[in-house]
Amino acid sequence: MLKIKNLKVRTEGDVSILNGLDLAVGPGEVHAIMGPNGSGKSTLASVVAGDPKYIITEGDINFLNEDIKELEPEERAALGLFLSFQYPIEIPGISLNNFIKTSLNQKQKALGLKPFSAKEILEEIKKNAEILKIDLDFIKRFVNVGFSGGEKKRAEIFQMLMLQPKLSILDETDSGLDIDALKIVANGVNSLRNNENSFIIITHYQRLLDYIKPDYVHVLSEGRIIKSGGPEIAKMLEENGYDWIK
Amino acid sequence: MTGLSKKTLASFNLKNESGFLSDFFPTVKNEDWKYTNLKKHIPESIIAQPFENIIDEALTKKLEKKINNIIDNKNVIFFIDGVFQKKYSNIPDGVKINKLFVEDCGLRTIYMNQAGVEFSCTDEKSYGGFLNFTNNTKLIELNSYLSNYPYVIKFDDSCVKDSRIKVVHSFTNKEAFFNQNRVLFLVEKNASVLVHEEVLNFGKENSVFNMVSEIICLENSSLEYFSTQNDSSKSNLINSIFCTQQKNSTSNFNIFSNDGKLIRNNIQVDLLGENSSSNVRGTSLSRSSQHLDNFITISHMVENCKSNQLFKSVYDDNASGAFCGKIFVEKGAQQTEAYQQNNNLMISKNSSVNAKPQLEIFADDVVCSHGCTIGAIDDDILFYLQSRGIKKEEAIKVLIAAFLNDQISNIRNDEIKAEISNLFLKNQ
Repeated sequence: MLKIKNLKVRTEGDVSILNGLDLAVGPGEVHAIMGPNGSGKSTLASVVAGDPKYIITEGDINFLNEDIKELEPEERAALGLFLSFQYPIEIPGISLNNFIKTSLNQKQKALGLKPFSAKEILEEIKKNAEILKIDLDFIKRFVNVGFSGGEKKRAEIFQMLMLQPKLSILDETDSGLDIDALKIVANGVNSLRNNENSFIIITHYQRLLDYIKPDYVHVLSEGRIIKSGGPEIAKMLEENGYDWIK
Repeated sequence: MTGLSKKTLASFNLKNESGFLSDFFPTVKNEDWKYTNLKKHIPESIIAQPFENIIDEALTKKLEKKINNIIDNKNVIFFIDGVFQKKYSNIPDGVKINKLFVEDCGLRTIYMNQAGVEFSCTDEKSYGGFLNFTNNTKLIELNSYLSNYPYVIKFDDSCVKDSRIKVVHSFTNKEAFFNQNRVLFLVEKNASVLVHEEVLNFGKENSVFNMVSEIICLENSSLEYFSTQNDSSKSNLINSIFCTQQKNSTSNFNIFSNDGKLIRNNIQVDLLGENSSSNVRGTSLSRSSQHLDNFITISHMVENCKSNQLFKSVYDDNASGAFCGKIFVEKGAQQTEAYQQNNNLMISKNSSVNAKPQLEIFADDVVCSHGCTIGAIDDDILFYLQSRGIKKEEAIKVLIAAFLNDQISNIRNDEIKAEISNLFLKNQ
């Protein structure tokens, strides 16, 4: 599904962040990416989603057998890519409800499909709000404005469920969540999980992985994946820290 | 300038040797016109409108279909070239309209005094004028010289609250005319009225509309005023509103500017009676090389009055603009509450705006504030929207809608809200 080869990325200020990263995610797989602060985890997420702030100097990103390196973020989203932001953006003046409607129908348009009816959208909203234990009044509020840390993350996962992406990248979605919220969010992710939908979960903690069982765990350091393996790696990291790998 | 009477004036233009018309043009040396160079926008060949009180019947016949498409004939006061059209109007209960004969009275800048008494030639003393009305007078004088007889529209307390009364000023310029228009609104004691003014150009492009409205709000009255400025005919609009308010009166001005080559709004509100209040809101979307200048003064002349100015403007392409907003608090006008906010969203690199918020306070027990922002769309916000599948162009539209949201969602009249939403959010 996603194939990243020898990816090298720098910022506009010419700081290199990713230094030849390789990663392959197959259909239905869940990959966890861990690593110390500043190792390039969020950059990887942003680059795959198409953030123009970063400059790709070398390497390839293939998604569903298509080279997406030159695609606009919205084109990647239309292909089925989703990024749950580490710091979701506040947009005063537009309700979460309208925002999701616009996203959904823009995606439909890009795929050459007809827009969803208000009724269809409402039904989906109700279904997903139920999964994430979201009050419908919450959806009428402006996007992320005045949301608590936990509400922001829940709103991200809500958008994910509405958009039904094929590959979701969750950038530290667990940070700032209490245990109950963590379970709810994990439940939301698991509801989207099947043989086809894949996930990349960026996290600092083993805890989330208790609820969303990964197939693979990778350790990122200085812009490269330095270790890959099964869920046991996360446990070792939790116990021994990153020094254990080096 | 005395010695001139309307009758002696014929058609003339800016190139006229006497320099008559250009004498009336404020230049950028005038502080109040620093950011709007009229001579740059108004063609030299402009012809000042000759006085005609007779409307070309053949022409109105031709326009009939267009007019009927535009007006729904529900509470409409319709003018063509400054002349009231009974045929196209439907005047609701509580509203009276009459012509003010000022032919031999010489030049007056203002035709109604604070008490709502119309100027009369036989009783010169009844003419009061506006207290702070000292600057900005040249174009008003020109308007007085050249306009047809002004009309007085009176609203009494039998007007239905929140029911819209549309006032449509249409023009049929055969050439690029410098049109004048003058209306006096009198909101009588205890009256509550919603007025929606609009300018329609059926004629040539490049015309100028020099619109002057005098508004008197008497005790306990309430005025909800809307102006939609949506002229796509490449015309220039200079819209001057002078409003005085008596005790316990309320005014809400809502100016929506969506299209027009040049728009200058002069809005001056004098709060003369205690416990009066005024809200002035402006919302605009300027594109191509349009220019928009909002020039606002609210004067607190007595104690216990409130005012609020909120102007939100979006500039795209090569559009330019200015906001000059002033809060004036007279000596002794204690317990004043006055706020002013101006936010500008710049979409393109070539757009520009000058903002000049001003406070002039001569009382010591007041709450006043002003704030101003000028900013571009944040790249991180744009990426967030795009990552959700929203195309860049669409994302910009969404963010413009979000920026203007409060101005539009605060409109209480659903009909107007739908029209404005359509104008600002759908047809971008």
